[in-house]
Amino acid sequence: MKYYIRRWHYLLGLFAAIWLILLSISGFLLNHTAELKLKQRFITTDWVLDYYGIKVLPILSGIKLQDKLWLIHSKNALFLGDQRLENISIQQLQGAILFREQLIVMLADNTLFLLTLSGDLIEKLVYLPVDPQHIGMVDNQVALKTKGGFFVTNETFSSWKPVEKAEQVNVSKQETLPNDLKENININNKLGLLNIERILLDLHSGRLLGGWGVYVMDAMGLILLWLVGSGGWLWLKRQLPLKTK
Amino acid sequence: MKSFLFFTFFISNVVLAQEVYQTPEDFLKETFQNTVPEPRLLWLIGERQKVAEQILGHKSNALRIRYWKLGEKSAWILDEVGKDEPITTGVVINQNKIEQLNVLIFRESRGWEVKYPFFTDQFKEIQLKPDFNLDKTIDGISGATLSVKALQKVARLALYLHQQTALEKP
Repeated sequence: MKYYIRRWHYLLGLFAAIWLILLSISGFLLNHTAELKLKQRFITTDWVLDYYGIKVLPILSGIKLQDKLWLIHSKNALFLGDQRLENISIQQLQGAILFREQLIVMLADNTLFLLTLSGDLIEKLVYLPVDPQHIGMVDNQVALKTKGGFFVTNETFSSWKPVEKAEQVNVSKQETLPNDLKENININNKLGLLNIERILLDLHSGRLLGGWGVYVMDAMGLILLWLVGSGGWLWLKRQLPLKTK
Repeated sequence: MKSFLFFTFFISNVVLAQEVYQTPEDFLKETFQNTVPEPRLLWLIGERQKVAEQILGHKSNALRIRYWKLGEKSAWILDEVGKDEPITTGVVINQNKIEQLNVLIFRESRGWEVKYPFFTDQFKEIQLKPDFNLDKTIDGISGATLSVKALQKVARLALYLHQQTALEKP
C-alpha cells in the first residue's frame, strides 16, 4: 500500500510540477501585463491564428491615390500604404481620392473622412447628399455619386450641388496591389487580432485546450489535493516508527 | 442657395442604435432663426490641441472643427464618448456664456437622462474659468455619471473654442 502511494505520489508530483511551472510563469507574466505590453504584442503565426479560428483573408486590392500612395481596407483595419490607421475604424470603404495633392478624401460608411497625407483625421462629415455610393473628381472638385445622381461640393465641403457633366466625373476604383506592398500589408493585417495576453490568459485558465481545458484544470486541482494528502500520509508513516523507537 | 443645398441633402447614418432627439440641422435652424450662416473651420493644432486634450482627457479625434457663428453667437456640434459610444451635443455660446446645450443624438445604452432640460438647463449662463473648468458646479445624475462627464467636457471645449474664434480671421 505504502509502495503504491509513494509511486503515484512521485508520478503525479512530476506531472503537477510541470503544470505548476506553466501556471507560475503565465501568472507572473500576467501580473505584469502593462509593463511587458502584452496587450500590444501580437501573434502573426498562421497556425496559432488558425487554432483560434481566426481567418485572415489575403488583401489583393486597394485604391491608388498617387504613385506609391494606396488606401487599403480589410475586414480588420484601414491602411495607408502598409501603415495601419489605428484611430479610424470603418466597416465599408466606398472610395477615396487625393484632393489637391494635400488631402485624402475618403467615403466610407456613408461618411466623408478628410485625412492628412500621413493618415491623421482632420474631419468627419456626415451631412452629405442622400445615399452616397462612390466618390470621384470633376473639374478639381470632389464629387459624390448617389442614387439620385452626381453632386459636387465646395472648398469647405459645406454645400453640394448637382453635377451637370456627370459623364466627366472620374470615380475612384479598386486596383490590384503591387507585390511588395501586398506582402507587407498582409503581414501587418494580422497584427491586432490576437495578443499575447489573450494566449497567456487562456494558458493560465486551461482554455487553451478548448472547452475541456477547464475540466483539465479542475483535475489538476484535484491531483494537487491528492498530493497534499498522500504527502502528509507518507510523512506521518515515516515519523510514527521513529517516535515509537 | 448654398445653404438651401446644404440642408436639402441630408442622410442619417443608421449604423449604430441611436436616438435622435433633435437633428443637427434643426438645432442650427433653431439657434439662428432659420438663417444659418456658412460653417467656419477651426484648426485644433499647437496650443489649441494641447488645451483640447487637457479638457477632453484624451487626444481629440479630429484636427479641424466646424462651427457656425453670427455676431457674438456661435454654435458647435460636438461628439464625445460617454461610456462606449459618442453623444452628439449642440452647444450655443453667446458672449462667452453658454446660451443653450442640447443632447442631439444619444447612442449609449444608459445615461440618456442627460437629455432632459432639468439637467441641460444647468449649463445656461455658465462661463469658462482661466483653468478651463466651468465656473459653476453641475449636479450629476446617478447612473449617468459618464454621460454627465462627457457633457461637461463638451461644454468646456465649446467655451474654449468660442474664445479661440475671436483670434480667427472673420
